Amino acid sequence: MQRVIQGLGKRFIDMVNYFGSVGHLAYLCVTNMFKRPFYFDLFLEQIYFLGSKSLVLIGVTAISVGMVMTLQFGFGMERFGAKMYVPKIVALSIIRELGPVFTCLMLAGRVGSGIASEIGSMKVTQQLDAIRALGTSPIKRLVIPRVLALLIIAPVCTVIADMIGVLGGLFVSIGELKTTGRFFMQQTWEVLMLYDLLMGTSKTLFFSVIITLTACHYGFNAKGGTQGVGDATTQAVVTSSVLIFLTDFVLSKIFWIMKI
Amino acid sequence: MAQNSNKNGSKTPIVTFEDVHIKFGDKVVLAGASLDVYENETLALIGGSGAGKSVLVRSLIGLERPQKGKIFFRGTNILDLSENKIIDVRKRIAYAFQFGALFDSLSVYDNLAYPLREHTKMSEEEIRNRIMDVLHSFGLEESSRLFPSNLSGGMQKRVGVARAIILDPEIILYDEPTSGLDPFNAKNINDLIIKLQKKGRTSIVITHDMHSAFYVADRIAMLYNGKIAYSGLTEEVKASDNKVVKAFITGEPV
Repeated sequence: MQRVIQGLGKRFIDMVNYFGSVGHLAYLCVTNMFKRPFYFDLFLEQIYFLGSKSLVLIGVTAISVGMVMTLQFGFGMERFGAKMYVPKIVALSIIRELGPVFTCLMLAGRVGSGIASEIGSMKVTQQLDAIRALGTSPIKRLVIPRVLALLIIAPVCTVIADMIGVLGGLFVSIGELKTTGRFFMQQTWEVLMLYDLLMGTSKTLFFSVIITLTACHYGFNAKGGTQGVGDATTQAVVTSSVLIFLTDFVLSKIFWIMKI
Repeated sequence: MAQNSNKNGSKTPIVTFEDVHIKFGDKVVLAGASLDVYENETLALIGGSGAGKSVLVRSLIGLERPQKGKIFFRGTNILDLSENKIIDVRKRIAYAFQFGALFDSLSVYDNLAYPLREHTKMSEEEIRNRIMDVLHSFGLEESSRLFPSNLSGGMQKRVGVARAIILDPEIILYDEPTSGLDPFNAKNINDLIIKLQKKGRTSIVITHDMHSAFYVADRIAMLYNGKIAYSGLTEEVKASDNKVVKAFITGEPV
């Protein structure tokens, strides 16, 4: 019993440490963002590295989600004679929820792990100390370009994922549910509003901050050589994935209250 | 009790560590270390592994924050400076890391260009000339396009020292500059430290290598049990009857 309480206490302290440290990192980013020097070249480099190299993974995930959802809803709703609603349900689900969440989960896995392992490796090989010793700031050189880059990449990738996901639904709808492409697209356009897209993509701004700051936090706190870098990478992906799900619920609830 | 003497007589110290305390968790590393460093001298800081030599020196550029004490650089307590303000100090005090700490995603050339691009308004042509000059003096001109993973440990260390001195700093901190080097390269590094001292640079050299300490240092300070146990001119250290110093030099237990 005592061990269980000790374990819970340790988890609680770790959680408080995490939120304190990430909050401090966010504060440093905001206060340093508008001070010289600006590393515009590093920002562009991060957009290329984080974005272009994640697109294939995001595309494959999106098309799979769209296809599976259409298939499952199609066969399930056929029993109740409600097959005609499948395009609306699929489009709304993808654009409001699944597109942003799955895209950011993929980014957490692909980009978050990359950032945590890169910064973690720099930490254990004293490269972070070297950045500071050479009179420069790791926050400005490493954190801010990544945060800003993902703030741009995540919404763009989400819009692309939304389109690919709906396209996947369209293919399955034509091939398996025997509906026409024209019907699918008509139903989709009928139900979708601009604010559905805005709601979905606005969530990704929160998710991208969670991914980058969590990854940077675990990278900066990596200890003990290669094993420490591995642990930091795993923790970064797990923590940001869990926080994406939790934040998604909170944001959905807020949007619901605001009648969006 | 620490003894203090210096070759500069009554000159004001350029760096003063005053009652510095640092602990990591429960482990006390420094327990009231006090030391003066004078302009244009080379001070060798000796002590056993884990004695806190690197921690003391890293605290001078704010890489470690003491829980208690003061560290003055030219009269300014650097512990009163914010992370942004301490950047000015770091431009004037260079730190050559024990294992180089080179940026592994950058070539040797770009590692050396990094501080120049960050802190000077030199053109790329001027940067290139400066880098090639420095690489030439280290015998590394053929390695400019190589990446750190392609270099031997000794070469990485030399590139690290080259990067540290490229901004022409006032003080250079060397963390074990000759450890792991063959005698030829160790002598090269030692000669370079002496050459830079002749140009008016102040150096603090962390070392276990007593041969190197006696070769380069004007003064030697020994860190023991978290404090400076002894400091004196090199000749005084050689002749010292302090049992801690004698034991360290001869390699016998205290």
